[in-house]
Amino acid sequence: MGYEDFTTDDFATDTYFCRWVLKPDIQTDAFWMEWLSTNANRSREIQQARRIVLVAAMEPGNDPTEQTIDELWQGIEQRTQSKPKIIAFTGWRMAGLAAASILLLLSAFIGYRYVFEAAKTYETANGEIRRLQLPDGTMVTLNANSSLRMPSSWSHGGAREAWLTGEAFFKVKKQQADGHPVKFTVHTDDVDVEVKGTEFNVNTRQDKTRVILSEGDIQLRLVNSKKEMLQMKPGDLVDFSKAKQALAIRKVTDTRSWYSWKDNRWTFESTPLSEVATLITETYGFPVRLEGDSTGNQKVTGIIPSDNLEDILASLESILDVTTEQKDKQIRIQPN
Amino acid sequence: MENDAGDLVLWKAFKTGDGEAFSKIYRLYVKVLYRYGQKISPDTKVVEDAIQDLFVDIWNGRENLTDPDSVKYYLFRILRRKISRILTSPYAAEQLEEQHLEFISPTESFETEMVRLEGDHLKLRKVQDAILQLSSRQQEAINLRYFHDFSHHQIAEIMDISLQSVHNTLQKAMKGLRLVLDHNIEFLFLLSCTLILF
Repeated sequence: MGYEDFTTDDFATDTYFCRWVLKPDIQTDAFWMEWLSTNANRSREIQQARRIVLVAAMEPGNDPTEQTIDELWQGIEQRTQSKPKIIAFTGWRMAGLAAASILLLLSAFIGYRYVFEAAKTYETANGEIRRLQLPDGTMVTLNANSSLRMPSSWSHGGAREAWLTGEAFFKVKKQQADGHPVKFTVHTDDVDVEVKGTEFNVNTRQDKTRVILSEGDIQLRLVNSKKEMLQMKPGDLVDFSKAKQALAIRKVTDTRSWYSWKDNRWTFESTPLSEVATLITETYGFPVRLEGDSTGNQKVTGIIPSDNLEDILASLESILDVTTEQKDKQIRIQPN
Repeated sequence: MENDAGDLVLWKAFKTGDGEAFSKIYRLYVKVLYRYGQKISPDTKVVEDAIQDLFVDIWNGRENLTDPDSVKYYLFRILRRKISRILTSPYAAEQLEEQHLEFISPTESFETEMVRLEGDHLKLRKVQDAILQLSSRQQEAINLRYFHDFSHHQIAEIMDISLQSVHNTLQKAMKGLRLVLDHNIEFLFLLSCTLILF
């Protein structure tokens, strides 16, 4: 049976279809968009199946508390003879910049920037996520309301650079020239993110730049102070605050949950509703009004589908004791 | 579902008796195991016991373990067997029966009962309701397929049912979801789904 004969339920259980919905990449995107353009009369089934798959991927279950996790582990330790020791995993950690190595860049920066004769800019609108493959094979997932600017081409072995506003996830392809790795740089207003080949997320919203590294190494350089450099390790989350002109670094246990947006899901763990509201505004462009004094402080925990505003609001209503209303391009959330 | 980069490195270190690697594996998987365990038994005590047994077992038998294609899949299989064993032991059956008398009328699943009980405080409805209306077997299969990203073949092995049963269960579950969603949510908004052409 070919996809032409598929029903909604067939699509919803098809492995390749589900991969596109839940873990989209450039190949699945290309395939299904092409398929849809030649089978436009099936868009209803496709949309319906997408929605069912996203709902099915929602997890109504509860996470164990940190306390439970520790207690279970202590029990395991007691029952195993050689007593493997506990290693600290969570917690905030501020690392002074003094700890970061400092490198003088001298004049290397001169002549560094490209002249944008024919620069390319990729932009996304409200609620839009776009997957790009750059000329070097690097994959970029551009979140809603974001833009990525780069030269129309990179010379082989020359510096690879791109300029970001908004949020994007990068999977940088390693490149060698004359036996040396060629670095890839993402510039934001605040920092330059330099890597050789790795996976990381950059977010420039909310008057700051946030970088989360899941694999490999990153060197961060402040735009205002080129001399200062910070070496990031996997699991590090770095915030650069414009107002404070300061970097803060901390460890996160599950980096993937911080950029699950790229797979059409948001992951929350005791996240205040006010932050969720900001996220909705950033992604869909609608202002969110929170009624009641403590509404914004309600904590949201769970994974919800993020590629449809209706689903997001329905999920919030099911997780919290609130009612949502969408009217005149504005969203209201009020306690029940 | 295959190993993420680094999983196998950790696994190999753990097999040589590296306690730190063992602890990391525990921390890496305890949440997903806990979440999946709740699909098999809503009794968190049972799930917690099973998780402890599982990790004690693999530590004690580490030298004889193979390198699985997917560490997660391997752990899920053991967890399910552990929970089934606890649930079918005479002692546990007795305990469960008592609990059932307290909370559950025979016609309602545990989850629907919880929804009813907490209905005043917590409006579990629409989307999440849809999942809870499925049979627990369908919920388990859905959980493995769509949340934990296991293949049909792996689900068959984990749940110890045939490949055809997996397919049928999922198909039925998706149909069930669709019907509930059809009734509850206007599909008017579907077209606002973002499908982006590059």
